[in-house]
Amino acid sequence: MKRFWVLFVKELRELITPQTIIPIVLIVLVFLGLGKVIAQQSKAQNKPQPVVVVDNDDSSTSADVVQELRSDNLTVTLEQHAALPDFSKLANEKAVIVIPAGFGHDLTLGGAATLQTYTIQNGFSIARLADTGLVSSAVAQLNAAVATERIARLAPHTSPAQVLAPVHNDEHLVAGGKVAAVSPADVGAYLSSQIAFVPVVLFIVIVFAGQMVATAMANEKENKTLETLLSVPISRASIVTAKMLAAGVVASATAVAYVYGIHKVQADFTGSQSLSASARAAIGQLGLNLSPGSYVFLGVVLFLGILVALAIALVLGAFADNIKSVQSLIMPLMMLLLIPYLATLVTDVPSLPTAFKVVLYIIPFTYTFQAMPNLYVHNYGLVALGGAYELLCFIVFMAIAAKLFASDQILTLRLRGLRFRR
Amino acid sequence: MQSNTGAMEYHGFMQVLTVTNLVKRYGEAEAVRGISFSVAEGEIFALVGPNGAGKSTTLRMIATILRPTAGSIVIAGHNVTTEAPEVRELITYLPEESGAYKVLSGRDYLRFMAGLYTTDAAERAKFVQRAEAIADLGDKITARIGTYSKGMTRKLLLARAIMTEPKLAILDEPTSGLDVLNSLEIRKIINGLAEHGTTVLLSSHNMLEIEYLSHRIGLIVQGELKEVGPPAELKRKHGARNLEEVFMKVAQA
Repeated sequence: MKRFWVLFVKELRELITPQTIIPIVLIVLVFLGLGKVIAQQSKAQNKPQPVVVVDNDDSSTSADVVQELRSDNLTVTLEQHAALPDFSKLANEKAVIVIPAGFGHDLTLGGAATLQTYTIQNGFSIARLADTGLVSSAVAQLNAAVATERIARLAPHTSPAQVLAPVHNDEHLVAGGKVAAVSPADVGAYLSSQIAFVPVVLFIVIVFAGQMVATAMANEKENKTLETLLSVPISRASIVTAKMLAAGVVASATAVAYVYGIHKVQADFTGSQSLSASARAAIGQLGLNLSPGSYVFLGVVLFLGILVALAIALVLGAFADNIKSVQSLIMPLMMLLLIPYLATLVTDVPSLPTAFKVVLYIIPFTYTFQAMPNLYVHNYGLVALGGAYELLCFIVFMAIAAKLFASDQILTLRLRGLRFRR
Repeated sequence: MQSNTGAMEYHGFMQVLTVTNLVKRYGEAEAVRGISFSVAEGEIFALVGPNGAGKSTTLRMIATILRPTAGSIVIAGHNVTTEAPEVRELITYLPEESGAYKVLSGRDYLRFMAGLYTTDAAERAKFVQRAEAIADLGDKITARIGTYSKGMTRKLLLARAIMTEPKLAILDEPTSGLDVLNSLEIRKIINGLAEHGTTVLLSSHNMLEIEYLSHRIGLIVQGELKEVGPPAELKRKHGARNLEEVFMKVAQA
């Protein structure tokens, strides 16, 4: 045990170097900075947006329209009886709204009137493209205000709200046979952010752990230290285990750092849209909160997923001549991760055609990515079965790794054409 | 006294290493073709031959790293194939092309390696102290191995290989990459080691070095052991002035 510890400490020291620590710290710092930038941007989007209103009508109705736009979170620069402004000179304005002559007259008569609107799109980022709905939502508000005023005038004993929205939606969400009075959209948005978060973290951890252990193997070969290590009085199983354990520990620590960073970005991003108390209560009522037991279950399946990745990476690493070849060697593992990762993010795996499902369920990592959705619907049997399958895969790949390490092949295997060297 | 395996009793001591009809095949290619020899306690035995003759493959099999295709290797009563863990406690091995962990300092590397041979702290410290004296790297012993020259690394590795005073030290080209002065020093160290009872099995291209250092040599050509004996005896037998001539005659025959 003491000799194993000596080996394990050496493996850790090789993995924890300034070259590995600095990028991790930098990435976390970037995440934290990114969170702040995103928070600032979304704050800026919630600020009143500047628009130019060209009032060619100059009536009390058009004055009401300007007033309504101002109350609708817009900063209005008013120009009376003017031509269209030079769009190229408008740096910050999001739109130009033209109230044509006769607009007030048409509305006062009870008819329809037309506003000319020009939405100015100067940037095409996701954040800037969100501005495209600015004018239409302002016009919708305007319509509601005009309609309310009109109803109040024409039918004084009627509630305008009842005329405008005569059908009320008393929303309920049913999950697992349980019912709660809550907006399904709110709960859906919350849960999808949770479900999308876990695979990202999983993907990072597993890729990291796999790469570390394969690199550790390649390092031994490239630095010509493997042969010496194989001749010392310590079992081959200990050599394999020390490498896996050290990679597992460093990958987990890295994951904690990254999770913290991603969590901060997410918290800054969704800070203004946090879940209301009633929605939170409804989630509990529907049993959509993961119990501590479920989290333990999730942890076990995650851990098994990491173990499988480490064992596969160790086998792949045995083919490495040098560190450069690790990148191409690790590709099969990346594909095995990417397929269930994307499938979990963009499809509903249980409702896929059978052929796809078979392929997905052969890949052990599918069970890790699918664990959280399955735990939400209390499908514990499938999660347990997945865990058992992952354990089996781990045992198989470890057996292969142990066999490789116990044979000549650990020294003679090479990537290129699987040639054996003398 | 010549035995039927081509080995000779050395000073009448017990045999530490006995190799019998050793064969190693890689697919169709036969790297080692049924060689037999034995090495006695405290003896320095050298395998000599050209590149690709099978020297390193033989040493690797003795060091438990490669599995023999046929034949047997026994070290101090333990079969290398069936009792590899016991054998590894008795031997140390210095590969021809070997390196050390670049992120560690020379001292940390020695501490790490010593920790794999003993669990006793005092013994570990003794091994490291001995290795530091042999490596003789001065202040550089605390510097990262990544900053070492090839010669410094080789001295560190050799010190590592002999710090535990193993029963059998297997040294593949021990002076490779070292200058004349360092090579001389290493030869002295290997001699001293053998005088303390360690058996040394080494390989080399350098015939001159082998002639001064080894008690007996084995000439390997294309995987076969052509001659075994003390350098002086082999020179006499082939009427040669030096080992190089002996080697040329044996190889051409």
